[in-house]
Amino acid sequence: MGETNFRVVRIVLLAFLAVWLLFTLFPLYFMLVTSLKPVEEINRMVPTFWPESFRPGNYAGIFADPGSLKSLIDSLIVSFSNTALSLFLGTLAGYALARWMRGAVGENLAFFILSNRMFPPVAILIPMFFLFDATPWGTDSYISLILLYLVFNMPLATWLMMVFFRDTPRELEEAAYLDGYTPLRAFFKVTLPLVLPGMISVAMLCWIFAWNEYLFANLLTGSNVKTFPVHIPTFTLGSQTLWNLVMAFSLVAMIPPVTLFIILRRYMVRGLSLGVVKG
Amino acid sequence: MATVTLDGVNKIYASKRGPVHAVQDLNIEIGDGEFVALLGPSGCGKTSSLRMIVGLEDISSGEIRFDGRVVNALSPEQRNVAMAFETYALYPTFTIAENLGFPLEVRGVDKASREREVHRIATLLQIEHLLESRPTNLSGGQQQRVSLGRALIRDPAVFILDEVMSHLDAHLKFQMMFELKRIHQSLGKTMVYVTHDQMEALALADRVAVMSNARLQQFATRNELYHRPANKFVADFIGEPPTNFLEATVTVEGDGVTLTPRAGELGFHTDARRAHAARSAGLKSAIIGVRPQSLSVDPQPGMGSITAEIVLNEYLGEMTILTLRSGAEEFRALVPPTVDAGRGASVTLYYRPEDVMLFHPETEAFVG
Amino acid sequence: MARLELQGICKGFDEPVLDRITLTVEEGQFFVLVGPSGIGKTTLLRCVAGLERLDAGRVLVDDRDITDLKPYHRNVAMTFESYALYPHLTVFENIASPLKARRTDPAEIKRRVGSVAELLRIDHLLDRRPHEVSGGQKQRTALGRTLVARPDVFLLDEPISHLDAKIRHELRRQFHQLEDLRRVATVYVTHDYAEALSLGDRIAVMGHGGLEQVGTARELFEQPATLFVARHLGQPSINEIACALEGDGDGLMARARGADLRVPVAPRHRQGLAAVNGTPVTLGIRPQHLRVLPPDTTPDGVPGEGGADAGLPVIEARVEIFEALGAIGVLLAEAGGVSLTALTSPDAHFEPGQPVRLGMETGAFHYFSRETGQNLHL
Repeated sequence: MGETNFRVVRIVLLAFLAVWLLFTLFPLYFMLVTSLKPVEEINRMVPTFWPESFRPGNYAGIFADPGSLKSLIDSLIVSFSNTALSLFLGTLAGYALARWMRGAVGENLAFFILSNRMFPPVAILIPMFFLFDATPWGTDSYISLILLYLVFNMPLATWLMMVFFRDTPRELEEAAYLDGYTPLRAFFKVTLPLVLPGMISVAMLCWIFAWNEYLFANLLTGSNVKTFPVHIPTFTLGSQTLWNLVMAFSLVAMIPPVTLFIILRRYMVRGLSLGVVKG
Repeated sequence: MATVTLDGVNKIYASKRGPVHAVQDLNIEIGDGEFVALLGPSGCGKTSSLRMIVGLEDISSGEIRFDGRVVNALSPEQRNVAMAFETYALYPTFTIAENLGFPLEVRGVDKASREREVHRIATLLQIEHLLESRPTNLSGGQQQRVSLGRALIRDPAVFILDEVMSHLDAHLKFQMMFELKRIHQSLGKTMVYVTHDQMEALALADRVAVMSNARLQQFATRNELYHRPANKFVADFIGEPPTNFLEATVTVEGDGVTLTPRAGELGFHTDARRAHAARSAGLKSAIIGVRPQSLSVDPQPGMGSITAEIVLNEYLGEMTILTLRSGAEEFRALVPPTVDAGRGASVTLYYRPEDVMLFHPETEAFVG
Repeated sequence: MARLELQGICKGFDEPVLDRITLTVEEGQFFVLVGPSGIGKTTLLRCVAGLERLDAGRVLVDDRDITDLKPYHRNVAMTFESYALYPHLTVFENIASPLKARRTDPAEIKRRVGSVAELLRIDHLLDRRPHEVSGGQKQRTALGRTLVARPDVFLLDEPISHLDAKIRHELRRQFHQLEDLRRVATVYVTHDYAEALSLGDRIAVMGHGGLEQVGTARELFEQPATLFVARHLGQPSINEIACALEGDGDGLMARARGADLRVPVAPRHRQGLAAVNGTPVTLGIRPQHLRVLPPDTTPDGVPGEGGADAGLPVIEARVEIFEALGAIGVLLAEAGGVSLTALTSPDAHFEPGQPVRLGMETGAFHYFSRETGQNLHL
């Protein structure tokens, strides 16, 4: 292929990238400008792409409602607890599947577990409500929401952890047995450190799901516990939605996942291939 | 058919820590129909050189000429170079016949002449009976022959073999070496064989280019590399087990030289030619190089002798390697398998004075 | 200090990988297990280590049955062919791992790892991670991890097979000189026969399922029990000639099938072969037992008295190819329709087509049953 040909291909690719970036970044930009507009400006027929007057006070305004802060805290409690639980159970189950359930039985069982994730959530909405309603702590509690989210996060965590464990050489554990470690100690000393980057990626996925979930949170909870996605629609004045406050609150709610991602990205990228065997 | 000339060839790679000189001022002239080996440890620049000859890599400076024509800017296609790889790179879904015929098919050769060519090559490589099988059913040696055949079928001007035997076990390697030699003799093509295994290079090639640290150390025949290595590196790299090196003080007495290794209680005597070389170089000390093969248990007239204690007797069937100690010096000797003296025994070994090589203590260049 | 005993080890259901393997490795012995790849050598090591369940048989260390012990209770150390170094730990931590498992005191760990690292000349690498060191250094780290624990049994799986020739020579010498390895029972697995001959106090050649022969290097090389052993030991490999025996007494000859080559049977072989006269045999001739004779030799033998070549029966041959391979020269010659490999000096010179006379050291030849592969005169 000639030099000119190569250049043309590169320009075309860059053009695609630019268009794609415009599509993804524009909503974010519009959120930001909307959050800084006064109420009068948000419902114009011809929208403004740059605020005519700036209202940074909107950000203070959302926290005038004490429910705003509480909803963020509720979300943090639910998402962190659920992530910890998903990861713990998923790691143990994934390890068992990877090491002792190879062959057709293990494959089928693993797929069956993952298939829970493929269920249309709406189909289990009502049964879940009655199920948790029958528990002593009722539907409107942290514990119900945390357990409910396991239905979605556990299969994902189990499946992914199983894949990561399969990629770690069995020989490393065997070497540890011969060094004198019992299987449990060998697991913590050798295997777990190797799947740590994978675990962090799984944790991110679980956490983001639990953080953003709306459908079940809206049905099950609302007074004792109220996560932020449920709180967002409450920014209204009469029949009018206060889009500027909604956008401001949404942007604030984006801060935790973005921060987490920035902190953990380093560990996620490092990957599993540290040159485990000869080379 | 072609001569290949490398004239002041350099290869410089850009890297994070500045430019890396992978090949430095390489001058090699390969005659028409010659079998040449590029030999060196990993990272010596032989692979970069090879890739430049093939045309897979730009040449930083210098010229590569085929039959006197500069090919620097030509693609591998245009240079008409064929290459066989370390990993056989056969197409698993094709039969052997289809694998062999593929380079011709790509060039739009018609079916009848393609089949004729496939048969000609298969006969040459003695794989006619395998033409209908698939690569996975073949042994390593057979796969290697197919991959050679696929390179040969195009009738290239220059034929390049990149570490083609490193995946074969010792017995197969032996067979393949004879095979390759036979193929070269019957085709008479210019061949360049790249390897890190000195045994393969010496066995196959008419001349061997020994490379180290991006530079050509010596380009010579087997005999010359063996008996007149250009420097200590070549002496060390060529031959197995490796050459013994001893640091020694030089005492010139008339026609001879006595070399007394620093750490041992031995004395080596050399012949007049070396004495002359050492004297004219004004050496006070030198590195002695003695090949394990040059130390024998069988005295012949005119031989010098040394006595040392056996540390290790490694019986290898056809031969025995003795590791010996004298003072703090350790060295090896290759002796017949009938020698079964063990650890602690004292043994007298004989050498011909002309087999004692001298190297300069600082430059490590061959003195005589 | 320990002695390892394997009694009738079986493994594999449909196709037995290991079929009633029985062997003893004495205390302080360096035992080499050699055979082609995929033959079950590694499986046997894993059985001894406790990583593989036995279908039958027992493993004993110092007469103590450890067959049912878990690997972490056996005090057996093993190096893996892949080295199996922990990638997230430094070289120091890798070597220290068995000591940490035994909850050794940190100062003691430091001392012992230091001395092992010094012995193996990797003491300057202790802070590096496995992916930052070379192949040879990884191998030494893996070896250090097994040495540091002072186990009863050492199992070494192809520890130097992936390294280049120069490092292998160096490490081979180190194996000979490591006192720690010399103290306990060591089983060393390799597919490289030269390595096996050079290292083993005793060597077991493993064929399909079982052991073909166990003995010292010299026994295996000079008195191979089967054609399999003879074929795999030696480089270049032994000449195999399908023969029929004819004549009797002093006139007993081996005649190559479908070719015009007759080899007189040496007196020491006659008795063993007389019993199978008439049956097909395989004649095995090592290349070094065919000597290229000086051109003035008569067809009746070497002229004059004395000398190593005196009295050898001679065959006329024609040079096909000659190769000088470093320390040896290999001559391919054709005699009466049979292609023979002979060993010469690397400094000799032969032209293809040139006639040569080969002296046969018939006393060193071997005759194997075509049917069973057994050596017929041991």
